[in-house]
Amino acid sequence: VRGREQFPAWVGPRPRTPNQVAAAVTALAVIGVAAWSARPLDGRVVQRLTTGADEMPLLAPMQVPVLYEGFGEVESWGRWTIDDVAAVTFGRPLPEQLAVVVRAHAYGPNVGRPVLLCLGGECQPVSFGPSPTDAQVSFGSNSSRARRLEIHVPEPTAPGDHDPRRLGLLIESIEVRAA
Amino acid sequence: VTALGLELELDAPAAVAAPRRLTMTSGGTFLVLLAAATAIPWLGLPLMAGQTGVGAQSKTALLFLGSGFHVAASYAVYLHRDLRPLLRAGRVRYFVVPVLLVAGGAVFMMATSGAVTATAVVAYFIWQTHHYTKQNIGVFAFATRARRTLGPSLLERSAITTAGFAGVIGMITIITPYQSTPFASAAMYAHNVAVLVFLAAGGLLFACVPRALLAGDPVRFAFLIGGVLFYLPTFVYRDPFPAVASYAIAHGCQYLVFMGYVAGAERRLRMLAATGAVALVGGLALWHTGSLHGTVGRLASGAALGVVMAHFVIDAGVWRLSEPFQREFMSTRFRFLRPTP
Repeated sequence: VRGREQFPAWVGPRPRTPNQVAAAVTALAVIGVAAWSARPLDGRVVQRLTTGADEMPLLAPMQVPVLYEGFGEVESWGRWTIDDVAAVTFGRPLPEQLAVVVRAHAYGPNVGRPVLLCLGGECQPVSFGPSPTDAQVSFGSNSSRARRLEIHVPEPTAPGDHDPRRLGLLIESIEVRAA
Repeated sequence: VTALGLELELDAPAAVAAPRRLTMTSGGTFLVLLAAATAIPWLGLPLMAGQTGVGAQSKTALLFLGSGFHVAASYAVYLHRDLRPLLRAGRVRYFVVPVLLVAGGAVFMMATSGAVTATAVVAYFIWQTHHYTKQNIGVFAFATRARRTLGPSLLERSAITTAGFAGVIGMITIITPYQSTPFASAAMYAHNVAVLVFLAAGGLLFACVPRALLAGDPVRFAFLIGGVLFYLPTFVYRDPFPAVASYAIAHGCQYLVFMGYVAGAERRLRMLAATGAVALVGGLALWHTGSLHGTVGRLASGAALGVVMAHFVIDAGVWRLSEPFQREFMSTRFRFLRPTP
């Protein structure tokens, strides 16, 4: 009894190996995700940067992927920026008009100093205290549908020999909301 | 069928016979051991995450058995006198390639850094996870033979393989340094793709139900479901430990069952003890590489990766049951592989 006969004719060319079937399925999934990722975000997206924040991803199969640059490892209370510029690249274009809410606290000399949030060439200043606070900015002209949000830290500072990372902000969450 | 990554064409029985009861001769003990080896780490490790005391010790023991111990156990094939003709005939696969992989791994880790190392590590994890899938197909094939029921169909193997593709892709964003590779902007979508592929694998599993009904054997179907759901933790947890270690250790424990049969068949206690010794010494050596740092640490971790990759290569040869020699050898160890009289 050969399983090859079990694929109906509408499937098209009969697959000959399991790898061919799996590769075809994967190709279809890639095409689907590519089409989905080209659509601008609408509504509200919250990225939590704390450990375990993304548990049970099966329940949110199409959550927006995010790429982090200039951040330290995920810790239970968030992620530190560890460079002059930290960037968050979203997997879908951001809305033309949006609000960004960052929940974070600043380290050392960065407390109370202006931090620039930049999107598609437009920058907005915010500031953070020594304990977690929310800072909100609005971008009204993201016509290029940029995906990359940059965080310019005024003075990244290493705590000492025991921790050589250049800390700036400890970010708990970043929320993007279509205006 | 494909067994442990090995191509084996087995025709199903001409007529569908009622499955045998679980007995030693039908491979019943083997299937019970396989099921336990899969279920205990698969279900237990997520529960053990973050535990202390006995829970932590059990977790460490499972991690050791399923990682370094199982990899080292595969090198016991060099001790089997019956396998020497195979090893001699395949000098490149069994001697040259392993040496090159170990030496090359050590040199590579010493000589590279940054994006190059990260890309190689991602490739390594992809190979490793695909290696698990090949064993999953082998496990299902062995189960159908042990139950003397319908052999695996293309559709059933496709369901397991598709789930394996999902596991490979889903693992990328959980345990690999993909963000340090030049492909990060594409790899960030890996989880989304993996979820869709895994759902499709579920659809293929559903399409296998008619054949399961034809076979009329719930044990056979349970092993098929196990093969498809093997990577489910990847889609349930984001914490790397339960998301990946659960099935990785299950793979290692399954492998130990296989190697236990290979070594211990026909009361070959001496061979069983030798296999255990190789696995213990080699496993401890691999385990120790994780605690080394600096230049020595990079050298040792590269060599350790080479040892694991050589394990993939050796396995793919020894368990290639489409080859008459390997088939004959394994049928002396797994009596249920022999044709029904």
